[in-house]
Amino acid sequence: MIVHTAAVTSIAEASLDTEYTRRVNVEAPRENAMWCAANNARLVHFSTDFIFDGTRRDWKETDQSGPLSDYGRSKLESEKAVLSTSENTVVIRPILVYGYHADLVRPNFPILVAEKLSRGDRMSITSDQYRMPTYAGDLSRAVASLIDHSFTGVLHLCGPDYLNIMEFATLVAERFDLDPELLTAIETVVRDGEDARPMISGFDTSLAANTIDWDPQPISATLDSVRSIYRK
Amino acid sequence: MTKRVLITGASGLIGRYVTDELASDHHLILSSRGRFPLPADFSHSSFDISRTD
Repeated sequence: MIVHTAAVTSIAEASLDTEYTRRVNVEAPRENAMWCAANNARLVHFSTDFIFDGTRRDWKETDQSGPLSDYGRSKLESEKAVLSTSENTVVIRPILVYGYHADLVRPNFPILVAEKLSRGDRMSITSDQYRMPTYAGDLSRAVASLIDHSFTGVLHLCGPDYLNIMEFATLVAERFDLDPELLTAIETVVRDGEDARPMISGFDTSLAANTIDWDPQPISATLDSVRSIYRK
Repeated sequence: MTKRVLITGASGLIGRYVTDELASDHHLILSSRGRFPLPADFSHSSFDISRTD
């Protein structure tokens, strides 16, 4: 079995070198799918909500895609590549994944907020982009349940809470006992040459609930879990 | 039943969590850092790498 999580995930980096992004985000998973098909192995491939256009909070797996960025387009292409190459494949689409591990190279959103607020730094956070963030702990348990499962195809996995990025940051401040007054809400500005991010993004996870009993924890509980292992 | 699982992107957030979760279930984990293309013997019974990173 292969679990393919490797990807160029930065919107900016994906646009800067689209050929490299294509090799990493499309050709590498295609190679993995070819290997799985040849060796009768299962593939779990990670994609993203950025394959949609950011206009709904209840996307189903079968809804029409509409990526706004080179990153989103590369991930959509990766989905088509793996699904058309190997039958025994699951594509997982999460949203704004977060968690904590001691030796992570790049901090994810709540960790970035916690680090900056811990130093007393001010942060400007968009309040007009909405997400249903996904806790990595819930995701990893879903992968474990998919190992011996017969399901193939696309699964939407996200947390139960729908909130904007400013609300997410404020919740981090509260759960980590940090000062939310350091946070300033701003509106999204897309600069010239920049790819847009989805303004609204959320999933209907009923397929996952029916298939693997997807029942993610509330975001406040997961942030408490993250804080308990977060060391600075 | 123990499975042999190759995890790409094992140094990233999802990869770390998945590695820990599957290792705790006693699956044999191989991370792919610097290992493309895949090792030819991945599907063979001689494959016995429990965890590399």
